[in-house]
Amino acid sequence: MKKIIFIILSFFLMTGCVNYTELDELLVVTSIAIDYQNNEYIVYINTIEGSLDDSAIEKKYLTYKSEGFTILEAFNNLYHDISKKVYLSHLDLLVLSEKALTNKLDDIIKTFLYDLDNRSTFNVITTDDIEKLFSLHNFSEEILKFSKINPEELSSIFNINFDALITLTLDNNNIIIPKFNAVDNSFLYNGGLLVDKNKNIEAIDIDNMILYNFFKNNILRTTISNILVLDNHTVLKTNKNTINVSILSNIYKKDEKKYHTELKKKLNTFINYYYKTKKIDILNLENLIYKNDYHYYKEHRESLLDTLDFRIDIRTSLIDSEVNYEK
Amino acid sequence: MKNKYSLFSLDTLMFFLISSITSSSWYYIFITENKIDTIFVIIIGSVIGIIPIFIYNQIMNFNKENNLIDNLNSLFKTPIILKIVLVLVSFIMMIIALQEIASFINIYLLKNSNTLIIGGIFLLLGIYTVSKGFNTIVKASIICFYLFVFISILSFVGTINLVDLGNLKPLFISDEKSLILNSVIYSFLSTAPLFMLSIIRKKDIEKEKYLNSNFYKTYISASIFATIEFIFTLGILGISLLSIYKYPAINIYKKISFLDIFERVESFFAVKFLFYSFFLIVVSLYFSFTICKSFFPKKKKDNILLGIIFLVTVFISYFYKFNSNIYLISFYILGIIIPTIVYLKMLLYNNKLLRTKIS
Repeated sequence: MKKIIFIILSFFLMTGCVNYTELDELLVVTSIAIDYQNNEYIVYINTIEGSLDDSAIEKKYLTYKSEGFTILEAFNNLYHDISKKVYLSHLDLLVLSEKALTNKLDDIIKTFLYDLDNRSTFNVITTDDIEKLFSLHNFSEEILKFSKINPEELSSIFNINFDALITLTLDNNNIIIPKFNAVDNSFLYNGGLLVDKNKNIEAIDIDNMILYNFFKNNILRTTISNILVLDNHTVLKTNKNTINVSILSNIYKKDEKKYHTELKKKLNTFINYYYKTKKIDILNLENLIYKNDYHYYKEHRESLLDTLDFRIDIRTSLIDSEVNYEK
Repeated sequence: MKNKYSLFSLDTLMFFLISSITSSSWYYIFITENKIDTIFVIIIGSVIGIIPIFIYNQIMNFNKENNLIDNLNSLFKTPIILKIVLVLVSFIMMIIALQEIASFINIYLLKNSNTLIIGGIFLLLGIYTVSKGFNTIVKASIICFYLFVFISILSFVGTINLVDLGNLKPLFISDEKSLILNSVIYSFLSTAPLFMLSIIRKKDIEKEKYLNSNFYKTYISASIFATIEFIFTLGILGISLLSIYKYPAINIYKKISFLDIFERVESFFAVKFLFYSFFLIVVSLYFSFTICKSFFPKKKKDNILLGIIFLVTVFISYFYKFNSNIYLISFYILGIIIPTIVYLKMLLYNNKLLRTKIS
């Protein structure tokens, strides 16, 4: 009797099934774009649907657009067009316009943290024209592939996910976001967009992105002045205001001399441009000094950037080539 | 003859009770107040925690034939006041733990379900376990412990490559007063649930002479585990992210991926938090239930009493949400004030006995 009562009771208590949703009632969102214009948010969502066609699954991409005074309102307005439940758990890409990045980044972060059901591991990018980018078929999958392949071949991209974006924003650091634009029927990687602490923006070209990745120990394979770098390991250490940059690269033996002078020249130009001319702490060294030498940071925080002393040490590990073709 | 509780099963139960602090709202308060120095809060708090552990040990050693109720009866003329306070405090602890775990399940596992229903089901499971006796509680804790070890190993292996030691700096930047105060709070929050184990008789434990040393060993092991887990979490998320998430570990589990096949496993790993709260709830329930039972020594109405406990808990949970200060006060009373009173009374009693013998 006890068992029967227990079983009957359990029927009423299986709460997990109350809000059960069929798979085809979900609108699986792969990418979201947020723009901010005329005090209004414009939200675009790109969704994927699978349909069985000749025994093969065909992927169908659809884009929806809505507007609202808050991001949540814009999301709610999406339901004017769609009859499915917007499902963000498979979100892979967040596209933010320059205006959204500079004016409303905090609100965007808050909305994603509090109200939207997502995993916070998706990548964040920016673009000049969201509508054009979203008109490309399958763009999010292609951009994600690019973000995976590029570091292995050219290392000109610095990928940033939502968690990293939150950390950089909370720590009041400068943020670099990859920029992609739609050109004809394809997308083009345009380097990075730097958003500094005061929400000013600065474009970073692809060459400078590679140099940035040198400092950030984010180079797997790249080319500097036509010299192939097959692997690289950078250690950035601070000692009060001295920044020691130690670089160890794998290159071919024939390029050794040229590599040292070229790379050093380029890295120094990069530092001079951002730290001396533009006065932008692109590498977030203030934060590094804060972590490594808190008391020094506390005493010198006002003049820290002006007094930085960079010491770059480049070493190479030489690889023998199997050919020796010298004319 | 009644089965004796094995030392290992008690160790696993103690481990869950000590670790239950990491799923409490106070753990989150330590992180927001002391930032990276929370490492020291855990270490210093664990060292201070040895003092209450010593007192609990002494109370259990007082008479191995007696449990806490018998000891209270023999030490105090009117033990009923202390018993009522103990019931109230352990009951409040249980409700708070229940509310917290219901809210956790609601946030991470069953988003659209009512927290009252989640809590009610969790409570039913707890009540069922309690009705089966302490032996069932310790057996359940062994089973859960094996699963817990498996989950912990998987999570450590899956996240070790994400640890950035740079996130562990800068150290020693928080206010010393707050560091010490939070260490003291940590010490009794992590040890107070262990006092409830004095509800069992020492003679019912296998190899009971090793119980004292096991108390310390388990406490030290759980503290080391808590420190390592915190360092891991901090190393992966950094203090900024750690400070904004109430359960940061879940955000780490979201990052786990083995060969791009075994991923999206955070719900499975979240079971860990259910264990912590489940055993805190079950032990508090058993503790308050056993004391309540002692008020009616001749009547065997266990099911009615458990039914009343269920209804009262659901009623209170529905109308009142306890805050973290009440949580702190209940742990303070249960883990520090009452054990100290009982211990001092024990010392006086022993002194008196000694004097009587000498004279």
